Amino acid sequence: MFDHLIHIHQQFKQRTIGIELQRFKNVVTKPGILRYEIEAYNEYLLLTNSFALPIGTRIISDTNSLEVLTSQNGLEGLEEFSGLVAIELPANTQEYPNIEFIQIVKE
Amino acid sequence: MAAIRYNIIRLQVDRPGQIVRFQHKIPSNLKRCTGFKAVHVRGVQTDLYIPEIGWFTASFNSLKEEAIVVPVSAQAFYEPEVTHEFQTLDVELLRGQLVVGVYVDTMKSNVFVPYIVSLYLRCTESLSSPFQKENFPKKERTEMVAKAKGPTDECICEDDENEEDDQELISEELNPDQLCSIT
Repeated sequence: MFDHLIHIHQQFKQRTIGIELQRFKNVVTKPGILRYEIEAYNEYLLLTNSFALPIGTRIISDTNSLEVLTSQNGLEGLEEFSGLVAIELPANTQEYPNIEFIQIVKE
Repeated sequence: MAAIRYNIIRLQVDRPGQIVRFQHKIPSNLKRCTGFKAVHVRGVQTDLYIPEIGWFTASFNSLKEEAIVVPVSAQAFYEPEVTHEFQTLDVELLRGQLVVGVYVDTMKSNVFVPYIVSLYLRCTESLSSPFQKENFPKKERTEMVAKAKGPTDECICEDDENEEDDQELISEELNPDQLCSIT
């Protein structure tokens, strides 16, 4: 298993993006609510627990989009989102997970 | 002097709501991207103009610069309002870096048909002048300049300017709006 924080620091250094702050951010989902929006302007949200999301969950942002498929259950990679981030749970879901991100505020 | 080159990123959308990822390497001779256009190429047949069938997002220089977030529209089949205008972009390209992005289908339609969209990038390639080419020995050039400087410096300057003008004209005449690569 690779270290998320080391990977983030290495990659942001490659991209010449300075990090002002890194912290964890959770989105708690609730029964009956299928769509959530988070503002992440001038910052990055890195999804760390895609394996815990129901199949069919979609995360759409200004810079990246993701649909959780069965094939992604085993992946450890981090998905990065920025701008307005919309999380859409599938209509027939019975699972309401905590969605965990590492929040990076850039310099 | 700068010649224009177009890069095309072409994607096929096969199912509703599909998220199509792409990464594209821009040829290293291109120095700057100055415009872009996101268009529906074929597949969606509609009698009415649809302002949004999906979105392109793209970042340049291997995720260093996020530059494009743009909707893609579909033109009416019988009365297409085709525009050829590029939207302004100003990205200085680092050599051999990636353009990375996604296309997200947002079309609200009961009957889905696979379709193709393209992202056109208009980039410029800087051309070196004939004197700067490698096959022209530097030593020989300095000797020629030293000889030419003899009579009048002003004359030489005028000649150089004229020569530059000629070269600009030539490059404009050629206007090599040709495609560099297709992915």
